[in-house]
Amino acid sequence: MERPLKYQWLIDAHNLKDQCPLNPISSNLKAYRWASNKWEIADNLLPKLEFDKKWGFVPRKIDNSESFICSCCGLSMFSSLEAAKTTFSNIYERHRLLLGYTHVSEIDLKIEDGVMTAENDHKHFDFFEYEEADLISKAKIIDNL
Amino acid sequence: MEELQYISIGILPYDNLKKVSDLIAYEGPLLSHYKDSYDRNVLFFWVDFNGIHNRWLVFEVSEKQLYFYILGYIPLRVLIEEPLNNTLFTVDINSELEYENIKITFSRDLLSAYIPEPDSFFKFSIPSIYLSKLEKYEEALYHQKLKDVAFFIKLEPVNKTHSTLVGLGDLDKFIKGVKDSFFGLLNHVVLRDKVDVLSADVSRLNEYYNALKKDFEPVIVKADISSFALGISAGSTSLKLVDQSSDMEWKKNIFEEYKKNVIEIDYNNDEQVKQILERYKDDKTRSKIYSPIFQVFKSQNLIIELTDNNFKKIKEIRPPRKEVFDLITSNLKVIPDEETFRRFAYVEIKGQKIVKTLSLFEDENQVPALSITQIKGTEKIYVLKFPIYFMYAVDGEYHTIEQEEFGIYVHGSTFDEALQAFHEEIEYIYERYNCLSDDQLTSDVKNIKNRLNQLIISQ
Repeated sequence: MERPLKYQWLIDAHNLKDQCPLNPISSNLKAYRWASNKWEIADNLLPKLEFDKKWGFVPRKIDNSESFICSCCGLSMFSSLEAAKTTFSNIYERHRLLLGYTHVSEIDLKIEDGVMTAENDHKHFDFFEYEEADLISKAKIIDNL
Repeated sequence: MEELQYISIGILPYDNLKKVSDLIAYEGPLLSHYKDSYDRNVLFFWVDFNGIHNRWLVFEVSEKQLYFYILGYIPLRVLIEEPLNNTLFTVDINSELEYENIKITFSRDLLSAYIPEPDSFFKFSIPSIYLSKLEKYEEALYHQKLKDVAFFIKLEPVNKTHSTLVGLGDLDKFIKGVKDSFFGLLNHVVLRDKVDVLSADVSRLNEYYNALKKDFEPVIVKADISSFALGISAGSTSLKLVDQSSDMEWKKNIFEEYKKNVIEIDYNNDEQVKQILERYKDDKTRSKIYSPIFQVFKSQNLIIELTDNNFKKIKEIRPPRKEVFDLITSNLKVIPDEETFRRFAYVEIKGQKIVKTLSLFEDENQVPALSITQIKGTEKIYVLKFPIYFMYAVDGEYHTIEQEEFGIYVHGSTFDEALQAFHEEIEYIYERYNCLSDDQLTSDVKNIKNRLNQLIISQ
């Protein structure tokens, strides 16, 4: 990647320098991210690892597998509002409660904001913002979850 | 995090746990599948957290249960309420991945907050690691779904010449009666529920019904020979699909309707008989559904018992009283062998007496070709240079005529009605196409116009 990522240091700290994000792509698109109206906008846009650290939570892990570390250095997003809401309604009630998300925010992503992984079947992808990107000014809460 | 009063144990009874796959995840696992050194399937379900730990509910499931879960057939709640060995464990995992506060509990004592909702079905993509075994369990699931809607009966001969063994003749009559009766209901259900959907297009309704008949062939899903017992079901092969569509629900309910209103009903209960008369108002329809099965119930040779799925007796099925029989069937006899069909036949006539008749088509589904040499329009008669051949078929109660070359498909409740519609349709096509110039027509339509113009020699 030519441009530095905002949370490159987090990736480096987990020795994932050359593996994260894998096969990044760039795209202009409207993205949707689960959010909570109880948290500051800035907190809603923190990678999971940073969010847990700031609020004193233990990262959700069962073993030492590295499968989520890269993802948790980026931001989980969906490429459609419907997918964001459907996936939230498809996870279990207990998890909806524990995760604490209440709303969905919309972010108009531009190529110059960062890179993303390919979408999965549920239109979910991880977004890695560039150092100079300003997602906070772009994100707005648009709907309830 | 909730304080748990369960019994503490030092260690989980699963060693060398290796992750198979995360089943549900969002920025970390929410539900994960592991295997231990004995190849046992263990699930970790995230249930709580605080600043020191994440708490997981850990329990063992059979491979079959696991696959039925990921195929969307049973909810997670059932896996938790019925874990293998009836035991569940809670484990608090800290940031160093140390397993602490390991406790054992039983599903009945489990904190209600940790029990997923009743409809906690798996609604995510099936991870690729499961795909190789999926086919095996999809087949098992299909059988299970058929069993879920089956009815179970035990047959016993009245005459014990061969002990409790049932003769093939009696069995054949029984099975045929059930099949004919079920198809009677299927036909009714299609006409009742699909006329609007298929725009009351008779040919499409017939096609749909015939396809459903093949799809819904009643099958034996369980049998016990010693005391002759059978589980009989019918379900669309689309039960193989994990499909939540309304059509799927409709299909699932067809055999349920049959079971409830034909097999399980108490024919000596006046209220239930009244419901049958209200539900199936048309005498002919009712007769098609109930006459074949009443013939079975009336059998002097068999005692028929309705049982549960373990073939334990629920009740003996008794034939209805004569007045109920007459009321439900309106005393109409449905004898499929006496239905009227039109066939091409070779007929030899000596004097005024037919001495030999030979049907040219053995199979009623084969369509004979007929022809017309003039078109009888609404006001004119068009004489043809050559005959126009068409295919004629009787499908259920409908007479259909198809002429492929001109793209005509008409139907009527009698042959004459269908033929009249055919004449009118050709006349319409001929007049309509000749009102339009060639450049207004597609090449196909132009061909039809030219062909008709060649055929029609006078009006």
